[in-house]
Amino acid sequence: MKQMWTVLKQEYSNRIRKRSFIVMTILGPVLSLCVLFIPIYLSLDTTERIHVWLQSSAPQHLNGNYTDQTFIFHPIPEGRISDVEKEFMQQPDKADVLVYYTIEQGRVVLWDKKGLSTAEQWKLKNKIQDIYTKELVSRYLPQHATAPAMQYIPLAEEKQYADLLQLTGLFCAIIIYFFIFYYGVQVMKGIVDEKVNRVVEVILCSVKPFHWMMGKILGIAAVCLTQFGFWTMIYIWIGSKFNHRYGDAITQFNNENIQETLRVSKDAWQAMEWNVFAQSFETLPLMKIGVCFFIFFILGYLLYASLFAAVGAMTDNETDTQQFTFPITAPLFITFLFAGFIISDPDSQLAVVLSYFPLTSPVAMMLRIPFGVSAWEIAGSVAMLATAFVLSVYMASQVFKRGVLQYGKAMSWKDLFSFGKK
Amino acid sequence: MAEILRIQNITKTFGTHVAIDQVSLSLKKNSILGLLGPNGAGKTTLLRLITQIVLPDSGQLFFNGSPLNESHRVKMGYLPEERGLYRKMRVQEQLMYFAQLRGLSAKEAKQQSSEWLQRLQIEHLHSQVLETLSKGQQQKIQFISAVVHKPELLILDEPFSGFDPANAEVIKNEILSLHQSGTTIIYSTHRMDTVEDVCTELLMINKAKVVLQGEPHAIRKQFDKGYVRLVYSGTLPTQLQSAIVEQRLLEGNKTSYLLSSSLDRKQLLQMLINQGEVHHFEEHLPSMHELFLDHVNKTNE
Repeated sequence: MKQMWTVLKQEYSNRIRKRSFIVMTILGPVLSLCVLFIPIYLSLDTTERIHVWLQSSAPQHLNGNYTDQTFIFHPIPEGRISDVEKEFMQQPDKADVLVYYTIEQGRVVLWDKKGLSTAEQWKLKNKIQDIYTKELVSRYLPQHATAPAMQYIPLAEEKQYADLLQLTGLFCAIIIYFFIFYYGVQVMKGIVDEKVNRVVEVILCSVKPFHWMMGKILGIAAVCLTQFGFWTMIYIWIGSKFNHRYGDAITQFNNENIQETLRVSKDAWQAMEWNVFAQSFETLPLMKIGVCFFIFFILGYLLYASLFAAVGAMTDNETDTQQFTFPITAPLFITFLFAGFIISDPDSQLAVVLSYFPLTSPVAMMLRIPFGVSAWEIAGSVAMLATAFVLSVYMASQVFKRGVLQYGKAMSWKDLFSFGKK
Repeated sequence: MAEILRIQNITKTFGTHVAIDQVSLSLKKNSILGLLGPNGAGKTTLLRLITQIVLPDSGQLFFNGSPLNESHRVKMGYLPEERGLYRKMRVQEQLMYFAQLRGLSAKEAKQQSSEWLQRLQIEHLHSQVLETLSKGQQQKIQFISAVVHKPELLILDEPFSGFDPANAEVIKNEILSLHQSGTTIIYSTHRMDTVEDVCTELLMINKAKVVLQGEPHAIRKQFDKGYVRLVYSGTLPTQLQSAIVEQRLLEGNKTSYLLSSSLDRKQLLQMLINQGEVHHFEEHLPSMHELFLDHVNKTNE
């Protein structure tokens, strides 16, 4: 027991004195506060309030003033829903969302012409529900006092199938993050390993340091692509099996044959929504997503791999690498912390900035692309990422040349930034 | 004989530490250069400059008459003092990798590596993972990795380190065999006995500078103090009593002397024959070990 305590004290004493621990202890709270408050601050941007047209099957009861800071409600006291719908669609402005209550059936339909963000949808649905339960039903029609079933119909083309788009963006971003991090670290570990095993001198008498570094980076990239290709084939195979098994069942629930069912049953609505979701894959710009994924993945990996190669050259054991890997991986990690914000508002300032900054763009841009990003924006981000890659390779090769034969003491940050000096 | 390597006034500094200071060398083809010096003298840095692992701050290096460049890497083989191989890789796979890095095709690499494994009698280890081998076996693999591509210039830094006497003899014979087939060799070591046996030229470095350079016998002759090794029966002439540097009694009423005399050796021999029985008489040149210690101490003063 005493020996365990001795080991514990030694381990604690060793690690608490490390520079990386001290830096993180101070930076940690600062970073977490930034993560919390930056999105809130950016979302406080004043934007135009959303115009919501309200109608119900008992329109005479829609006579309250429901307007708040986010929504301006326009109750429609009379008229048939089909006429109102037509007018709503033709209205060029001040007609963002149309809400129709069918009180007798306990359901609400929302037609969204503007393309609300996830946060805005959530807010509006809560407001709609409040109006329904606290105003319409409790005051006038208590016999219908159940929570209404809501159907959300996005009409803005780029906002249709928002759930799927978010999932797709998140999936691509996670895959990129995983591969960049995992294989980038492999580059670093390989170099540290070769230093530890003293193979470095044998290699360097045959190969220039730059060629050696690039050979390792590209070799590991090939491994990564092989694995990814294999995964893709597996997913396609699973998808084809799934489609073979369930495809017909899903496509049964199409508009033509459940029109009547929709008016009656909530379950059918859910089936319809599942049908919409499943069929929505056909609307995804898969080619664009695929090509962008490949480009951002390759360039992102190359950028990070060269940085990791430099870190590997600077140290001769894995423990010393930690002080250098944290600042390199922090941007990607922080991007993921902001992922929820980016996918809920892909055109926000934060999302746009992160999708241009090279260290965050591989993840941030993939989160945004499914929602529709213009070709010039993508091209600009790719250009910046490619430039950053070239610069990082140059810098890494300089560090590599200086550090790869150094043993016994890790290069310091001062050594790193003095590499340009003779 | 043609020159394979010429070094002209190269200097290399690491920060404020001068590792090599104005070193020059001309190395003939098919010679064996012994590179001597104490720890930290600059030997390894010089070898790294020749193999282009590091670049000089000033001065030039020439290989086969042309300035040292990338294409010369594959014509050199290097066995570093700090042994290093991929521990998790199989033996032949590793040798083939190094051979291909140095310009051989896959087929040639396989053929050459197999031949060398047979020559060193370790062909049965070809598919073993390196970390399962003994230290001596790993050293042999490392040696093969330096020679597998038939380099014109072979650079060996302490090649016998880690070998038992039997295996050291095997490696020495292979080095001599390579020399006989035309390979030029630079051989860095602290083992003075092997230097005297093997080397055709010497370069001694201390504190980044050259302190001795030339053919071994010529260097020893240069520092000849006039010593004579004598095995003698009888009373030594009186005038030689003060010339005794060393004296040792042997069996059979013989005495071994080391004499330091200014007399001509013929005269000295005649004098000794007249007074007693001479069993052995030879000029005693300083050994490389003695020269090494003398010069290191002198430089350090």
